[in-house]
Amino acid sequence: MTDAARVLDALRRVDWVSGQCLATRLGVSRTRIWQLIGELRTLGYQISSLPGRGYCWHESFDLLDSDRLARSIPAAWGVSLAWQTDSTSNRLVAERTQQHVMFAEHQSAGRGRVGRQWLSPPGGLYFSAGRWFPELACGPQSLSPWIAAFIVDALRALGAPDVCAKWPNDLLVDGQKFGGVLVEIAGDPFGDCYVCVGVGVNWHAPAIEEQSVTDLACRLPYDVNRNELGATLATAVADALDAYPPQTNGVVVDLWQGVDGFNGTEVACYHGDHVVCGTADGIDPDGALRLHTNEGLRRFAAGELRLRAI
Amino acid sequence: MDIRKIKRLIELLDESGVQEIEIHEGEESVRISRGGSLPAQAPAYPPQAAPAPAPAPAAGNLEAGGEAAGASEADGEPSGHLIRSPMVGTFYRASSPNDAAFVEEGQSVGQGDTLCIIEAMKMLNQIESDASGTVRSVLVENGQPVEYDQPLFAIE
Repeated sequence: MTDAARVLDALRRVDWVSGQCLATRLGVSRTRIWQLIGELRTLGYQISSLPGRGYCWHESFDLLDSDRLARSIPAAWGVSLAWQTDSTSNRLVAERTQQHVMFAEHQSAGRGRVGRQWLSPPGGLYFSAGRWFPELACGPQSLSPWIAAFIVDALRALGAPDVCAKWPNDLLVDGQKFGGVLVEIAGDPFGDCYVCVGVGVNWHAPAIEEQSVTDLACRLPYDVNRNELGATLATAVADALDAYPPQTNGVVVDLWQGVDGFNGTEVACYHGDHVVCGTADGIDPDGALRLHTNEGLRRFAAGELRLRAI
Repeated sequence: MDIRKIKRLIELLDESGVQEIEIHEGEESVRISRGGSLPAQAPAYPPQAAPAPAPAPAAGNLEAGGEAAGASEADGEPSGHLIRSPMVGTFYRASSPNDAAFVEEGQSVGQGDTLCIIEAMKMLNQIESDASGTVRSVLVENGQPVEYDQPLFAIE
């Protein structure tokens, strides 16, 4: 555990605590505590200080614990935890460790789709899961919706029935996004390849103005521990990867139908300067979005697509 | 020929659904056809016949990035060893706009080096070189949709 994490762990257990007390507990100087508090505030932790009372972390939460996580994740999968890294997907794709999940409390360069940053404020859940596929003859096309469907099912089982998915793999509740999935593939996508699935979930939502984001903590019927939620999500992704590709073509279509939040609704599909309106009709076995338009059925695989209920 | 007569002929054509009328009167002749260069389709007669049912859903073409997709160059393929797209998607030369391109023209690459990313359904596929050599040309612009089997790089 880094010194910064130890400060948080100490703050989490008390109301107000003096700098001297923290220094004694960690075995460091008061100046060092002052520095660490500054670092934590820069990372986004809301730590108050008052003369004579010391420090207080009001909205405290559990820090991730690699032992607790590992106990709840399938035994074949290795688990590691970083306090801070550039991006867990960067790490895994660079190392290409077989059946491994890497969590991080902080990502300095969390990645969204090409050219987009994924913000990783304190308290979210950020991890990547990587697995080798020696022979992916059918290709990876339906991986994105496949993984999203496993995650949605796992969260519903945890007690959040309103969670649904938006093609190809956004995680939504009440029309608001609370998480996303980004799949990276290195090697031959139809042969021997390494698949890395990056997941970011708002556990306590960041306060970003004018953006439609929500968090998961307020949607669950009881106070789900952050480690438990992290293990549940990672297990869903590990199971999805271990079960891919599905035995028959129809499996991913049916699975998606169960979690699809836009099936049968009027949607607008944005790609580049074009907007195509139509009625969403699930996906094809290859993961492509099906849209019934005035010009008949159209299928979308890629591009700058956004999907919105009108 | 009387202009009113021509106008009447046009109306006749409109009402009938006939594609083309040609009239000869002595030295003069006039031919009126609808749709300009439309292919010579058999006129649907009577015109109000019910349209054929829509083609089976499976006929829908997969679209990479919409209407612009599918500019394949059958002829004039560049020489050298071609790296082709293994899938339909969007071509990216770098992992983000702030990063340098994976490879530039003239750069030497080894087998297994990452050349580009093809994005499809939020999956970023790192396309690796299956040969060693020098990148002769980059055949697709950054951010453009690519089709299955479309050449991306020429390596010599």
